[in-house]
Amino acid sequence: MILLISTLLRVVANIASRPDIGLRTDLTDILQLGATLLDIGDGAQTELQALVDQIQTLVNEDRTFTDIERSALRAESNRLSNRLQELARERSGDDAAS
Amino acid sequence: MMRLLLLLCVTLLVTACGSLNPVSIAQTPEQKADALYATYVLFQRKAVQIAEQPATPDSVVIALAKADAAAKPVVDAMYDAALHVSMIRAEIAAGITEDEQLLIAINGLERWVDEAIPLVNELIRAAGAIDDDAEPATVAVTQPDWSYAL
Repeated sequence: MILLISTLLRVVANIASRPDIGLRTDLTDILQLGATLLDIGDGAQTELQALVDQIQTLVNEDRTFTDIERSALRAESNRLSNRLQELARERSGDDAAS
Repeated sequence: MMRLLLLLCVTLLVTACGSLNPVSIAQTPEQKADALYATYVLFQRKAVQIAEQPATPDSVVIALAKADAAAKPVVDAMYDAALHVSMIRAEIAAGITEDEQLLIAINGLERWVDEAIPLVNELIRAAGAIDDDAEPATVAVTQPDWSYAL
């Protein structure tokens, strides 16, 4: 259902962006953002379900993540955290978010 | 109408994720820490995806970064505590550490998990706060029940 709504939003945004329709650019941007958010949400749901399955496997096998899996998560977290701070600095024009 | 549309999008997004809780499935403190850390990284990924959209308001990008900056040191400390517990378990198996050390390490890990959960939820909320008037998002992670058998 999320995918359907996301597709509909994109179709509406594409139609609305036509010069003869004349909808304001910021409104079409919002429609696109809405569609993107739904796609991100859909992806999050899929990844969260995969994580639930992964944790269930750990429980069934009475183990934890391996050292390699933990190291990979830590490295990805560091990279994402740096990226978020970088994006916030770009938006705020200063170092307020860091 | 646009605010309503965005609220609808966020509500659908959060509702879709709200019923899935990896931490509640985990049984041991280390598994709960692994589940929480992986959930945190998952939502960091989503936060970056949202923040990279040009149409995402500046205030949301900054709120996401601040929520992550608040959560990161605590979640990393929880990660280190989980490594410490795993190391002590290995030492006990090798017969070079007492069980008492394990209990101390587990208590420390439980405290870090309890402290990290609201901060991870804050990051999830920030990702759902695209509309300033939106209701706080339903959280994906709930406080664990520590009544497991050691």
